[in-house]
Amino acid sequence: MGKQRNQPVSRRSLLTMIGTVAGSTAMYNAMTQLGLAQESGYAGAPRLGATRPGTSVLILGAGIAGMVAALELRDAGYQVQLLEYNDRPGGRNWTLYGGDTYTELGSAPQHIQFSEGQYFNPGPWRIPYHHYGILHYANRLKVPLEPMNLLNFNAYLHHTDAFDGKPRRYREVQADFHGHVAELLSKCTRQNALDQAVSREDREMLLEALRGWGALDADYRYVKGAISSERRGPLLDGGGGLAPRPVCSEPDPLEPLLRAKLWRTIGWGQDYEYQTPLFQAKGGMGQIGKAFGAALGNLIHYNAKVIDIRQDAASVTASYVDSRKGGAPRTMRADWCVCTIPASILSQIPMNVSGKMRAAIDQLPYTANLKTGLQFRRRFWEQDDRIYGGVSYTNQPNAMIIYPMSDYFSEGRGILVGAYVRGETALAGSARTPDERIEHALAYGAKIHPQYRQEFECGASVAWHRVPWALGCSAQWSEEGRQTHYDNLCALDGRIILAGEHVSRLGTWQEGAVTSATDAIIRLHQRVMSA
Amino acid sequence: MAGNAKTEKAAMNRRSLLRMIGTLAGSTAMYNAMAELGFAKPSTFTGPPKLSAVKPGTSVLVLGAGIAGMVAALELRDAGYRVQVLEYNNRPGGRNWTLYGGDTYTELGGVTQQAKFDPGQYFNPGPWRLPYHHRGMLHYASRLNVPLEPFAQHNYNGYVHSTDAYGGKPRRFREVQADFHGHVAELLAKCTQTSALDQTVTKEDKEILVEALRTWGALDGDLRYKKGRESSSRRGPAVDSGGGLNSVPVFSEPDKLSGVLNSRLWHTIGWGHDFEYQSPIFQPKGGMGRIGQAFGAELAGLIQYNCKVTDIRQDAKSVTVTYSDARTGKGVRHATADWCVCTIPASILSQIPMNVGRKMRAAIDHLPYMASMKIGLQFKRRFWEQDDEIYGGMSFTNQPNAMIAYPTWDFFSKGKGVVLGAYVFGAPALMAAAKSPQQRIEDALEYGSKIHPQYRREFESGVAVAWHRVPWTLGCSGDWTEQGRAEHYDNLCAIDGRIVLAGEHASRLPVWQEGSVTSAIDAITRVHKRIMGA
Repeated sequence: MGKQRNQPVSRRSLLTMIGTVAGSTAMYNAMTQLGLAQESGYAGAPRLGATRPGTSVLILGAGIAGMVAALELRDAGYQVQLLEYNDRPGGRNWTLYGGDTYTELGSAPQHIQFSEGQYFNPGPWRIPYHHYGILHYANRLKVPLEPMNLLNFNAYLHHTDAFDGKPRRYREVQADFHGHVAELLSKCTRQNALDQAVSREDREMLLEALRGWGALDADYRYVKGAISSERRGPLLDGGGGLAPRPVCSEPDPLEPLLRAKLWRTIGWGQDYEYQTPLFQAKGGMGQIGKAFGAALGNLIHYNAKVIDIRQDAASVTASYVDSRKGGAPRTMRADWCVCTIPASILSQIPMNVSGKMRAAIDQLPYTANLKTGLQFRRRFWEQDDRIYGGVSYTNQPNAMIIYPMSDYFSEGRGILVGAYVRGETALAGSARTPDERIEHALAYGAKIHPQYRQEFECGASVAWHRVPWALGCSAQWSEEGRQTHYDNLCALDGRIILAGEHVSRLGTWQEGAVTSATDAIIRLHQRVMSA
Repeated sequence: MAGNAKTEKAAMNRRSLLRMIGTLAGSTAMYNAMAELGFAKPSTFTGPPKLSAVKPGTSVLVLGAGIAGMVAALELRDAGYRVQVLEYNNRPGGRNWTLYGGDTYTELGGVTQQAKFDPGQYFNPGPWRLPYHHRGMLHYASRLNVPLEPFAQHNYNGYVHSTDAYGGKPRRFREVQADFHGHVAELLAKCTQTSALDQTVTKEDKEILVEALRTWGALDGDLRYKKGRESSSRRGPAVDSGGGLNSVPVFSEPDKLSGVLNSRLWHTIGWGHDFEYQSPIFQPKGGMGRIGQAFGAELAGLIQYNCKVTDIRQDAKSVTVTYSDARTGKGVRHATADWCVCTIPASILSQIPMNVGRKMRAAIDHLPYMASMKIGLQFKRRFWEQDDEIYGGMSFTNQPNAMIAYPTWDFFSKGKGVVLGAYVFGAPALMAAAKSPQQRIEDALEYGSKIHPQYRREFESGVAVAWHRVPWTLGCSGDWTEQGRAEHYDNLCAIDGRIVLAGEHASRLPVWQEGSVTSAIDAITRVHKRIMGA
């Protein structure tokens, strides 16, 4: 909602004018109409209107992008068919339950042993409040959502080289970092080091703000006392009657805090995508994929491995085989094709598109990513450590421990995501067998939760580079790559258009898949209607 | 939370012990030791009290069926005491209270409000949050099988509003926080380039500090907080990224330092990080009053409702309480027991004759009560979700309604919703209490409309509870000063003959239900010891 140099300036002037003339309700309505009250690139489900009767579209891939495209095209009157490699809908929108089997490239099948009611999301797990598209479809498909508290002030921050390897609570690190920053800046302000940057009038206000925000004492110091304990938590809280009096906690000094780099998680935990509120599908993210699958019924053909995509002036034909046993290729033909197969796979499939689109597909690298789910006999993180949901962070190669954000206070079991890593760490993890990865996650986790070994029951590990139908977690656009290739990847090529998170500027997120699909079918529809 | 010298010294000794254990036996031993010493959990609640070997037939009269009274009754009953509870209201819970459609409430002055909320809608006039570290409350909610759900305190997309800033137009919390952090980071990074910090921070640490400030504050490569990818990744972009073509994000423009400071909107950033407001927080499904109801069900038969206590008298052997029907004032009756746990708020108790020592009497009489007011407003549709993308959490304003808290349940529902349209303490609460409930609601609508223009069109009904006019508490909670506490607190808590007091006012966690729980446990543990030692 900031000032823009070009067109938005005039829009803002218009708003000011409306505001002056007609009062705030008119203002609000005008804002909504101008799209300024809602920041998303998502402008609601596409309104395609009626199509030419009998127009058919073949959709490749029944992930989120493919199924959004299918749902909307079907509703607009298109004849729609989907081909899907897996025996289930959802693609990377995927939850593993007890009884499921998953086989990676080069590994023995993992037979998932989780107890009833327990689950693990190898792929997406969070829906930020501003991912309006995926929220829209979850609601449309009546998938119950529940809030997830990603930020847990009582979760641990851990660094093997800091504080003798003993974890700190998030609240302690954040309060201490804020407090020291506030104290240092107060000091500089009072020493007149900021005379150039801050006016005399603003200085007093800055000092007042720093004291309140940073929990400084009356002398602008961040020290042990009631004020700092109110933020970092006391050693012992106040109680009833003649119980022991509260005991203040001792802030950590600045130096070890800085060196341990525990402050890293404070900043990015406040990134737009991680800001509360966030939501999750009750029972696992895969419930959304399932609901899409149910809505599309027999439009989806499962176990279909696409091996060739060919277009001519009048139609597109995809050849496919049974993904489980191969066999004789079959074909499916339609007037148009929306292809949501990840570029990592698509680059290996013959398809007669332009050199530009082919180059865009072929150049796009995919990120490595590894997740390990661990089932424990009891929810010791809640019962012993008082951690209800959220994430603990460590500098060990498992990077994070994610606590379940449902069934709080349950006496039963629980599944932790015991490792969630990207990049080189994920590649190194991928080289190991799932069992070894689980063993590693246990060893790292035990440094933070000594209860790990005693309570562990079973696990599952998914290294996305070894997932046969994705060969990576998500597209990894470089700025340069995007400059050269992005528009070419998006452009309608004859009768084929691509969609998916890789065809979006919201890569990795399901919202990218939704908005990409929406954008693709709107452009496709326009082409169809103008033909 | 001000620990005195003695406790601090005791704490230091315990900490030294910890350090010693840590050195000798490694971190696992350290962890176990910490847990045993109660340091891993900064709460005085260490589980329900273990009251064993009660003398058969010993009786306890509990006054008040609020949280403190019912915790005391539950544990004493389980231990084998004969327990009787007298309660002024016709329901259990006391300030643990939820108003549903059809409920009526009459405040001092005689005005009766009937809640006209729809089925499924509700409003908590009293407590509404259970912080994760309020282990006592969480224990009893679990024990009584009251389903809990997460409570969203922080909403980065909530509004922060001041009539004096930005032409009265609200900002989003994420924008204010990101801008404040960003400017603080930029200023301090600037200082590291001068000699101002040479005394405080070593050269080596300065480099790490700069790196920390850059990432934490979302500064750019030149250590500036300005419009661009970095700042928009925190404050939110003007237009989000999207899919396919035409998906380029539009970055938002940060507010200037002077504007951020003088808006005073930064007030809400700091205290939102207070220990009690740190996520995760929980709430009972269906209203905080579910906990009081569950206690009441568990204690059915032991609680007598509609009992207005008019006299409390003890002698060497027993305590006798005189009470009448709270509705009619008639039908004087007596209840006698060996001991008495009195949880009646000091504001009321100060008006009831009771033969306790001068010290306890002085403590009761001296304790002022805090003013507080809450207003629940039912709207036809959840416009804050549908139009403003605010799912739970709060908006803050400098107007006399102070905040708007959005329902943190039934997200995405197509139906109605009840918003907390005002939650104020102190002078604004007293001023509001002087007005009629109808006028208070009208005021809340007026203030709220400044932030949500949809208010007037969507409003259906409301209820306003000014705690100074609630007949059975005459205030929200005990309002201890440091001086008052130093002089009177121990006297308030001490067993006086056969009477002991409990409640949030007899705790160092006032206002919070956890204070009631820990106070009750402390009181009955001491009474039990006294009985066993007698």
